[in-house]
Amino acid sequence: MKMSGLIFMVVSWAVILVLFLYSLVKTLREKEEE
Amino acid sequence: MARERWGSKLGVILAVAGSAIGLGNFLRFPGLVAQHGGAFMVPYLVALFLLGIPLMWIEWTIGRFGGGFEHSTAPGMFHTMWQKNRFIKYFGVIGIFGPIVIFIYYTYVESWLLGYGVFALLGKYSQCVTRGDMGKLLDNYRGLGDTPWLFALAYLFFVVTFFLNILILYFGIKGGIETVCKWAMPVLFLLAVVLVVRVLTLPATEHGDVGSGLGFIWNPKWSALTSAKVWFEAAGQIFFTLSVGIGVILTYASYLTKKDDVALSGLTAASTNEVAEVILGGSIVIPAAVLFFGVKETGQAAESIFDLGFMTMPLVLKKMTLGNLFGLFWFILLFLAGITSSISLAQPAIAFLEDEFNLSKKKAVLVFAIVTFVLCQASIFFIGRGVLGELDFWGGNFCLILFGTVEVILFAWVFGMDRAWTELHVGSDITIPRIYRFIIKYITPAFLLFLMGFWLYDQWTPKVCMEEVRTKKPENVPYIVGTRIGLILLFAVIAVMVWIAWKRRGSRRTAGGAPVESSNQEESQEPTS
Repeated sequence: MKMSGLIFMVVSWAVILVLFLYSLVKTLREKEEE
Repeated sequence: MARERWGSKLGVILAVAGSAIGLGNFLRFPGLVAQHGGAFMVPYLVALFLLGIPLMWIEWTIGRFGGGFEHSTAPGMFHTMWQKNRFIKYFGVIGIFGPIVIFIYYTYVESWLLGYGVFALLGKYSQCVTRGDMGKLLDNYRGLGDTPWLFALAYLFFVVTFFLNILILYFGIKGGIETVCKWAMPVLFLLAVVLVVRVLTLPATEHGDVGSGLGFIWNPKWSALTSAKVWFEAAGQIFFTLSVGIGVILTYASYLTKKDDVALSGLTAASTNEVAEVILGGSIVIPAAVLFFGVKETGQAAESIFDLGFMTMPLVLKKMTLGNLFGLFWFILLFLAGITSSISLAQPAIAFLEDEFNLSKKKAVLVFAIVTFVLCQASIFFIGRGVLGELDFWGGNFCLILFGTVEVILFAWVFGMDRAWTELHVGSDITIPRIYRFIIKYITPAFLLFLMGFWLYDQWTPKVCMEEVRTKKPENVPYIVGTRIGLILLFAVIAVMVWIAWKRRGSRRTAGGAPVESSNQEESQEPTS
């Protein structure tokens, strides 16, 4: 795997994971508050 | 009759995510990235933020808004949003027609997964050594070979799969769909993680190591960024993977109450789908195939999802220790992805019968089951005649883009951006960045119009004129024409049903009875919940 490929993979995963964790944590927190 | 509701917020999120996560996440996406390299992710992520997420919010909002007026499907929802227009409800017919068309062939493909799962467990394809052998098995299974008993077995698995779908739908939104998605989605993720770990820990072979498998997917081909076709394919993939433009999310969101959040729920469902697609889907089939077959053969397999799913991956898994078990995991994973999608495809038609014709849940499910079981026979018995591809083109491509375009224009321009933005934020657990006002009003519609224009330019004429069929398989032309006539008839029947439903509403109102909608949108503009 080339360095450019690794960068694309890591950045893509990071974007998706940040979005997912943000929305999941927020959803679970709202559920707890309810 | 009390309106059905979701049991919990997590339940509806998992149901929408279940609808979105399908075969495309684990087969189509990795195939596309492998063809274009990591640079594919640039247009893909741009499309996710400018097209996918805005459309997700639009559909959740329209769905909840329409549900407030006791409408669970697009005709009624579109009518409540643009009451002065008598014809807009007929555009909404696409939101019932499209899911039925996809359901007709999707359920059959889903049944193959169940059959192959059993085959994997019993080691039934252990004598197959090459992709060619697996291809022959798949042909025989689909009735395109010379082993009728295998086709009969396939039909039996189809009946079981169809019955399972109907059984889930019979138990309704909370007792059926929500309950199934609440256990199916965690199991699906667990199986996917197990398979990812197994693939990423595989030892190197003569073809390379896992790094070369991941490199085959992610190493960028820079020319992809300047190709309009790649941008179009990336936008198309976002469209299809999120299940937007079908009508399913509208129906699911209609079972929310007015105070339920849609902004965060829509975002959570979309991001859950993306994890399944980009992180899990991208790390299973292609890296494993490269290890066992090499780059060249994997490249050929990546062009067809049937090849990747039913021919390449079973062979790869068979070569591993505990191959039968991993094969079973693979097909159960895909089957769960399939069934959580197919039940969502059925719901708009069932909800339409319940809402607009006052049928009970049981009767609506029964009518749907009888009609679609008959229609499914075309995709089973004429699969070799191009019927399945034709249904996919109209139901799974054309209708999606057309319906998505109508929705976004209706939401941002007819309903009005100020009203739409307020409606989106009612009960919201997050504040959406204001830049999305601009994106939803200008960028998403422009993106969709461009997508539709390019799609029409690229595919319309050759497809409608059957250029490929005429050249390669002229004997299929009557079947393709027959399928089109059938689709037109189906659309016409649903359109007539909409006409009858609205005529009945009108006559009830003029007869002096309680006006069907007088307590809500027609007069007060206040939803019922």
